[in-house]
Amino acid sequence: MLSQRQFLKIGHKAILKQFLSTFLPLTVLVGAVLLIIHQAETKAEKEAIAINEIRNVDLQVKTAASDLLSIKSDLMFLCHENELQALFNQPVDENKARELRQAIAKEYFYLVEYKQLYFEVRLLDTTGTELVKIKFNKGQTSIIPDKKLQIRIKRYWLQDTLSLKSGEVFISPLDLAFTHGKLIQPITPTIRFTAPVFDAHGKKRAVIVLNYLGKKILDNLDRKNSTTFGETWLLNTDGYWLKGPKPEDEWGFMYENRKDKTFGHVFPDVWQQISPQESGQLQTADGLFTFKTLYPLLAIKQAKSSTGAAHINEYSHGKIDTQSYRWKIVTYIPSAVLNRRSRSSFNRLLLFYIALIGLIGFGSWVLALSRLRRKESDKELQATLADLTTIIDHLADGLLVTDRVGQITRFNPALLRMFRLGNVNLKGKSCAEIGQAEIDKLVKQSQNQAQEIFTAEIPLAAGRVGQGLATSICKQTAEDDLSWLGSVILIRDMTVEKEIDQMKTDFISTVSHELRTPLTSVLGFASIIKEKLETDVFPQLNPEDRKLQKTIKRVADNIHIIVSEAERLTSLINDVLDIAKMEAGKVEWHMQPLDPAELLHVATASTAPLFEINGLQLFCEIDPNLPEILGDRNRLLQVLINLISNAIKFTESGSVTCRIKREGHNICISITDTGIGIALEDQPKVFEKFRQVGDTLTDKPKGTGLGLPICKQIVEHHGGKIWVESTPSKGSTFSFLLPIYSRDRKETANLNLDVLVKQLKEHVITTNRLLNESQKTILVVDDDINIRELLRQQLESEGYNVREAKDGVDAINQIKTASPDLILLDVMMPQINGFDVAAVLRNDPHTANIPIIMLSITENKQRGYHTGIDRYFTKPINTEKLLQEIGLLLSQGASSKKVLVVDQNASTLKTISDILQTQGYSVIEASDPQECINKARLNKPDMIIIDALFSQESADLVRTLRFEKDLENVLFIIMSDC
Amino acid sequence: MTEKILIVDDEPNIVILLEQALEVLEDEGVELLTARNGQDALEIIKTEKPNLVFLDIMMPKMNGLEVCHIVKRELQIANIYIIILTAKGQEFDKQKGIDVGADLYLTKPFRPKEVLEKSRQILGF
Repeated sequence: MLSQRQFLKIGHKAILKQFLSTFLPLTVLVGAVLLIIHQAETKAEKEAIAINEIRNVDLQVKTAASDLLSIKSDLMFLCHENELQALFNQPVDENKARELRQAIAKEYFYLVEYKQLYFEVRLLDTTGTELVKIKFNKGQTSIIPDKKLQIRIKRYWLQDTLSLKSGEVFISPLDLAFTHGKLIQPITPTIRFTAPVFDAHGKKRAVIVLNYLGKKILDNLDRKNSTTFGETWLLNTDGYWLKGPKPEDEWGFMYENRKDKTFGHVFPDVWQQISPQESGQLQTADGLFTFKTLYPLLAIKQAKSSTGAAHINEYSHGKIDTQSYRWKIVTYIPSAVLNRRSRSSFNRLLLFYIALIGLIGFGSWVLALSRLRRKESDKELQATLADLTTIIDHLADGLLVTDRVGQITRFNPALLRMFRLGNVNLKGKSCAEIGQAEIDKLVKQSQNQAQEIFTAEIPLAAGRVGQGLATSICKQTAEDDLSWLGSVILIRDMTVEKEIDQMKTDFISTVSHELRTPLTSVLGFASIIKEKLETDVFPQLNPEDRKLQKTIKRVADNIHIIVSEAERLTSLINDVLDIAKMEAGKVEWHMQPLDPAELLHVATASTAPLFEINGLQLFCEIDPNLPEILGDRNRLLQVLINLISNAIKFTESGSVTCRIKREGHNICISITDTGIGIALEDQPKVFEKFRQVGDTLTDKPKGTGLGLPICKQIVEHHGGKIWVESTPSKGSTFSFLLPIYSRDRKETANLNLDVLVKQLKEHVITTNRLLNESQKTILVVDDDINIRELLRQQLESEGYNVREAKDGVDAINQIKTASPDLILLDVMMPQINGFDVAAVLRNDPHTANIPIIMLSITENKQRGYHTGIDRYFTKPINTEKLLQEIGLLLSQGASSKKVLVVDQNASTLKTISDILQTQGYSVIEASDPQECINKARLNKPDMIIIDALFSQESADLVRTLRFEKDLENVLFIIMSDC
Repeated sequence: MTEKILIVDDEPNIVILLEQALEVLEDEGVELLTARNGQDALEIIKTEKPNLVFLDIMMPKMNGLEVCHIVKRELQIANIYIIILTAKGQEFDKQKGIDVGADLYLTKPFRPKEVLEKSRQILGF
């Protein structure tokens, strides 16, 4: 429930207080309730007891009365008994009388035997002589024989009886029976019932005496015969107990030493109350007294009594009235008993109460602990919240939390500061409301793709700039389901970073500018000097002078060295700046889908001269059906060319093999050479900056040492990997992986420029087919007869007319006679190489415009271009491509491949220009029709590509330009978006 | 009409270099003009109307891009071919060049022969 720590922390006092706060009130409440219940119970019980007592007393009285009445009826019955009547009404002799008497005795016998009410039944004559006597003693009934009968009894009651009328009965008070002057033991409570016997003439002839066992009446009052809770007492008129609390208290009037044993003596107040009253009930300190008065004389009806005699032989002192002969039946429930009852009920309730208290106590305890625990938890929560709030308030970054509907639920002071919002409460507002459209956008982005993190540049107040980072708050509701609850946006002030960034850019710019400017002079002037010397000075000098010639050669060589070193320096600067930019993240990458095979072809083509010079062989192993990769074309070419150049550089003899394979989700390109190889311990170092492998003292560095690090940067930027495997003296393989470009990912649709260019080409060809109806003639110039034959076949099957020349001189002569439409020119030829042929042709205005395709290039492609070469191919010749290019060039009509591109959208313009430039076209750009016209007039392009947006004006454009000199045959290509 | 070429660069060496590179054309009737900063260049362009301008970018008073912008976009002078010379190499922002209306750009260091070639091409020699 509570941990030990918590328990101690809270403290006993607190627990106690909490406990008592529930315990006490409840206890008191329950106690009060139980008390009330107890009171009610007690009262009810009291009433019940009272009623019970009254009923009890009532019943007792009735029972007693009934008993008495039944005795009288017995007596009456006996008085009219046959034999007795016969005795008196008929003349009888001794014997008969004796017979009759015997019969009567028998009657009496059975009466006593079966009724068990009387201990003596007698028949007396008027003189008091016993005629019949039956005794009942100790359960035995006996007829007393004649000789034992008493004669002439003188008792007060006899006289009293003899004075009675017919139907009247005389009863004595209930007292103890005497015999021979002494109380019969055991004491025998008796009531004497007597009645006179009348004969037929109404003459009193005898008296019947029934000695009633008063015990019967007394026994009826016993507890076992009544329903009282207490005792039942029988009191006589004077208040003596006839049945009392103890035997010693009873029959007080019969004993000398018990004369004070009266009810009145013990309970004076009570006697005072009950004595005069018929019936009633009173409660005193002693207890509950319930009483009812019984008048036996009334009950018996027609009964008489007298006061009895003080002495047994005396006559009575007179009759007493019915009122005076009275008994009181009193039930007494001592207070103790009552209290005991009450107390037991109280005790019951008390136990119940205690049980309840226990329960309440337990409950209160539990409640107290739980309440305190909750309080502690609350406190802890508050503390945590306070901590959290403090933390959030002290964040340097701005924090913003939004809910499902984009309303702000939380923010911090840093945020307010960033946007100079002042001291406002942003809760409930939306981002748009507070003027933060960028943040709003971030939130929406975050909502749409809950799994991604989005960043955006956010302008801050006072011209500062920040970066916002938005993440989603998601909750896993079901197995697969994530419910978006809102977003958290952190905004960091990036102004300083941006400034630093800008500084970096500026630095790089400055450095590059500062380094290149002097270099321009060096390279430039050296070139000019070289030129001037070669063309103007050296020819003037005496060729015979050996020493002079030597000097001339020396000078030429020196200048050559200056030029090449300047070029090398340029290269170095470019590399250094390149890698610096890459590391600073300042390179602009132009990512597009690329065909790896095509890239390799371009790379091998441009390095073909190197192969020639070094006498190495090139092999290509390219998997068919390679997927596209996404990359920066120029940079990837840079990598390929660098690797191939390195391979050539470090290989004395043998070959270089280029392989492209698909490996899982990647393309693997590897360049293998048969060169000197790299030692195992050096292998990791090759990709480090400025490291050249080999002894720095003996091996002169070849190149800048930045090539491979730059390759690494480029490859890794594309998400790939580059590595080397090598065996010294055997060769090395440099490989790199590039991820396959999967088009599944949702990307903004880029202009598919390759397709565009292809379409352009095809379009150009088809549109041109109309113009160029006549068969084209191609001059093939190569010293190798087999190649000439091969090309002839290929070209003739395409429908071209083919002429051959076996060397440069032959070619020039042939061209002078009849100009071909296109020249396929090999470089390495005897006497005069391809370059020189091209140069000669270019210098002659008649032949300057014939398109030339070089079949291999030496030195570098710059030179090739410089001499006006339109295309270059490596051997072995990809004839398909060759034919395509031939077709293109011929259909272009002229060798200078000028394209004027007109597009309103600057970036589209730029993109198309780039693509066309890499394809070898010379591109002029224009942004609107007017500019287009201007530039077209100036540059005389061969082809004009116009964006369809200008279609309205384009019709006019076409008309206008067609009228221009030299533009009649310009090809117009209209670009539309579909 | 005389063909005119304007050479603009704040580095005197570069101007001399370009002059020497294009010397040959002078014999063929082309006039070579020079300017050392953007403002002067602008004046000369307005008055002399050269056909071809070699324009350096990093110059005091008014840089090459500004000049190009004024000539091409604001004044919209026709028949003027502007080649931008930049020492920035790969860092040169091509987009800026396009925006201001330049026709071509060359990176430094360049080969004098290349410059000559291009000039011939443009002027139609």
